[in-house]
Amino acid sequence: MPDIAVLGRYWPGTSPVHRMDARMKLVLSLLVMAAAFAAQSFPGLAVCAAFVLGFFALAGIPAASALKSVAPLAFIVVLTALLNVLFVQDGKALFEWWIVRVTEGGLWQAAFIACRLLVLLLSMSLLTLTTPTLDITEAFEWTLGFLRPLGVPAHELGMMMGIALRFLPQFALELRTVHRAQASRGATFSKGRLRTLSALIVPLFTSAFRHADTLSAAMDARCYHGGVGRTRLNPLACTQLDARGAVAVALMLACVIASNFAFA
Amino acid sequence: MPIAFEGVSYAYVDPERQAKSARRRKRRRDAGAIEEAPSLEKGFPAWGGSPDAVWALADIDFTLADGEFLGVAGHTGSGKSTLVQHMNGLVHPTRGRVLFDGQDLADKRVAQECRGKVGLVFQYPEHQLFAATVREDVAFGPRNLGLSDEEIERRVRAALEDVHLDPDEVGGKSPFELSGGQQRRVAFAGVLAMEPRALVLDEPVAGLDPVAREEFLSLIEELHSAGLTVVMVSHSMDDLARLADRMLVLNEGRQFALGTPAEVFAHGDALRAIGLDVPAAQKLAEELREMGVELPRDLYDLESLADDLAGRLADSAPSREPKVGEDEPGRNASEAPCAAGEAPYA
Repeated sequence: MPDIAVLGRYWPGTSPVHRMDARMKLVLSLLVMAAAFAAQSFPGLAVCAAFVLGFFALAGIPAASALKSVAPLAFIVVLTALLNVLFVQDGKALFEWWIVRVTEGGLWQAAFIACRLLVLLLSMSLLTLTTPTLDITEAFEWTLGFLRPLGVPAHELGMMMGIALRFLPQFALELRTVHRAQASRGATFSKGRLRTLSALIVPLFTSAFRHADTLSAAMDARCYHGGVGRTRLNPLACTQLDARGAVAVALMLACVIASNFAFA
Repeated sequence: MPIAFEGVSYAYVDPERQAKSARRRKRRRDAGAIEEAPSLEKGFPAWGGSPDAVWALADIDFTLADGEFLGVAGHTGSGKSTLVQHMNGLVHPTRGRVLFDGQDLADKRVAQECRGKVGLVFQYPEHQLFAATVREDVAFGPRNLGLSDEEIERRVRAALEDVHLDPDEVGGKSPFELSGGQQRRVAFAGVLAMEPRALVLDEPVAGLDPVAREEFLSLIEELHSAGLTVVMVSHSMDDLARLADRMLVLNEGRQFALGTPAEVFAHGDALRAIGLDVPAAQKLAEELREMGVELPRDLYDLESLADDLAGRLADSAPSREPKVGEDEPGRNASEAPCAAGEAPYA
């Protein structure tokens, strides 16, 4: 397939992390994120990062690929760090120019926030790298299940998420085709004029509607009628493996909290 | 204004990196870290290109001459679409180069200039319509060329007339109100309005009904006889045999054959081995020849085959009249042209 890399691509494997129950992975990755927020100091974050990288190693995903998976979101990390550099005004001023004042405290804070965000993104990407989209959707639906008595359509939300994830690469591909087609008609997109932009966006929208029509017809043809009475070919099942994973994440949380006290 | 391909190879991602990741995948598969994909048979997919294939195109070498009609054929995933997107600099070769009028298309300025001269019509071009009116949509290309309003208006009218649409009738309509076949004409007019000297068509008649298809093909024929250089990608061997002066056959990104339709279609077995075929009439002629019917021409279409067979029957009719019924090749031959046309309605 063509070269469109999308965040959240599945990295096939048979490692313990891959074999874990998707629901457990979803909950655990939320806990890992909580741990990243719980860490109040660099040593705490280091412990956090060590665990996350350990999980990556266990999943058999090379460090370079792990970093590449979060690269598209690096701009968030950089932006947040920049904002912190500019707006946190603690400690000694290192550099002053016009209204810009960079302080020691600001730099530390920026570095800390950047590291924390990176850990957060990595833990999220570990989930998507080791879990097929279908399983994530199912786990998402299950997690929302406790809201069902309140009238939250958990199954429909899960299905919507699954479809949205499925169509992201499709639309990326179509956007590229439309872009090339309009470029063939002499369009240059560097100036970003409204007419040239609409030449991209309108076809993309019409194709979204077309896909929605086809997809709903296809779902009808397969007798889709919502989540009620729906069975699974491979039902999710918790095993001993998931218990071990839970223990590992609990250990991680404990270490992070301990490090908060140790380096307070 | 020839377009020359000089040893063009294309890989979607850096070939070295791709080779490395293919090796890594193999290692992990051998180590049991990833499962064997169920659709693979002995490491190869049941159809299409191999997922480990590095090159989408490899060593393509040919020159497109002025006024020529070049047909491009190949199985699904053989690199046809990638090849035609090289022709106006949308895609740049990983190795080798594409020359337009002797200038390298890797240069952005040359590529931009060439887009006014080489009109590329994508697959399902009607999916790229966007403007509120047909006239606006067709004017998009000329406007990008920076022409004056009068010139744009003139070109829009001319282009719509070229595709047999009435500018006054459909010009003010929304392109989305039109039928599928008309939408494709509008999209086609959008490229013609740039007044290109060469037209590159990627499966122009895919998904059209037989009548629209026939109209479209004769439209292309008309444009070609008016002097346009045409490159047409198609899965229909019949269309290519009918229209093309020369054919390029791709197989797994490689140049499998390059020559006149008669030369290319002389090797039916080789074509069938790579998932293609010869035109229906040619196939019938081939089978008749095997049965001992003498057919002199290299390439047959429905009409020439019918003519030759009718001639042969007329020659042999007086002397062998009673035998025609039993003679296997003779009977087949006499029935064949009828079966194609009138038999079901007789």
